[in-house]
Amino acid sequence: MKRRLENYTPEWAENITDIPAEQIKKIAREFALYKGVVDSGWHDPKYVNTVLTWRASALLNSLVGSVNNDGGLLFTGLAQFISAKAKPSEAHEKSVFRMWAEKRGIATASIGHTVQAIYDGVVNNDPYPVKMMFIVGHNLLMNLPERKKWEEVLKRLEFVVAIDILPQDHLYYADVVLPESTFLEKDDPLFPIAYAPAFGFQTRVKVIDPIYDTKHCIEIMVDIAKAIGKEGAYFKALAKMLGVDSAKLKDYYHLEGIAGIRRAQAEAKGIDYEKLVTKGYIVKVTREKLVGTMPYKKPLPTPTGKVEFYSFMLAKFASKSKDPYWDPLIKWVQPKVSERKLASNEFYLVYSRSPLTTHSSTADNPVLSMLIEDSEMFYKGVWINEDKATELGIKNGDKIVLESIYTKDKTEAIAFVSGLVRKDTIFMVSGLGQKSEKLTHVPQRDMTMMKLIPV
Amino acid sequence: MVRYGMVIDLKKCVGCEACIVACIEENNVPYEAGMRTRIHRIVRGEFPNVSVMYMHRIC
Repeated sequence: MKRRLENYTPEWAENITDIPAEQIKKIAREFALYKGVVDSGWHDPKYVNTVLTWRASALLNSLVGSVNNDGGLLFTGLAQFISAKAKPSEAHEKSVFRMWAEKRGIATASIGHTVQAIYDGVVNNDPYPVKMMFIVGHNLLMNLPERKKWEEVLKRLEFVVAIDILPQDHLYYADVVLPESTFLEKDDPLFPIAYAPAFGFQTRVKVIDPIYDTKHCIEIMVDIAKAIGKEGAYFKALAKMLGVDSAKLKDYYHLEGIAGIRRAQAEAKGIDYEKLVTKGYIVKVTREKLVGTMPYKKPLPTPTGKVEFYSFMLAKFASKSKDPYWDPLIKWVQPKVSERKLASNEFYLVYSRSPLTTHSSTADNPVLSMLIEDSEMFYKGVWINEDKATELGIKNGDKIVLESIYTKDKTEAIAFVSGLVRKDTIFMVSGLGQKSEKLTHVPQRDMTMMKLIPV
Repeated sequence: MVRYGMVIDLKKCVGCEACIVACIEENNVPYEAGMRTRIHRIVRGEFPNVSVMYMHRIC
């Protein structure tokens, strides 16, 4: 590690980051002295070198000991009790994602996360033709980059079925829409508590019966399975996934619906069912027993059981790829986006969430919509540096057009001129730009980053 | 008679706007016509030493 880091000096970093070397040294000393912590990177703009960026931050946390202790980055109960024991996820061999990625020598092909495969499958029959899509609660046009391409995908597909609770953009392309019940109208199975330094299970308990003719997604699936004579196979697969007995699962489902699935899960896990549905959650292992345990008193799921700087998983990816982004130790690789020399009217685009938009599910919320409209230009505008705006003759509130050099697509935007961003960068929040006319409370329909980011 | 006041520590405000929503819900505010609680954002300083101050204003 020492040898690898030799050339990465503060002076070297100053040239890349614009942060003076002296400042970097000062921050490094304070970080080491006070056991600093780098927050995990859930949402940077996802550059090609992003894995290395967040790996570096994890190594920094490890170096100063800010790992699963008070003041440090905590492991969730889910990570310790479920993910740590699970086999590495692997896509089906015939998965369109996996085959597409393997053909292109993509290191992570076996995981099957390359959504680009859908585009090539539908439009170019590569790796094989995809003719039909079953979409559950996922607005492709707003959740995936390069909107034009996904409009093309939805137009080309011969048959599209969509399950949703809102009349979102992609439903306009669906042959069949199956309406799901909203959150107050449905029970849910049992799920492990996700984002907490404790381990337990949570569920959702129905408050009212569905007002309209809607169903839970699982009920829709069971009905379809039944119609094609595959109900037994469906419950067998579901039972295997949930770790419960298949015949019992089917019986309980027919007695109680989704609540029956939950009851079967609770019985298999030895959970007090009445307590669960009264509270909505059951804690099995508390925070006190989890924080400070792994890796100090209990081994980590690494080969040595300790915090390791060398990653065997990344080494495996690196051996399968010519890309330099999977270094098993750490190294700096220039992000592709900064290889281009920017013209005077060109910018890097960065984005973030706002407290008022979460994916597509908050798209039609009247209160949130009004708050976005009311928030001056912070959420509905594109942030641009004041000096740069003066150079380009752009005033606060001006209507401007942004064109992506990668997608060639354009979006309208309102300029929010301030000192909040660098001269070479513009910023906007994600989640804006829904087109569907049936959504009646959509703020800022015209501006969307989904047209600007290449897939 | 007791008269309650409200003390708000503006240094703790991150502009999440949950107070606006709570005000609307609690007092049945017909928000389409306007809100009673609002947050103003004031940008201070120049890049890179720049920050946003959130100013809470209630009726």
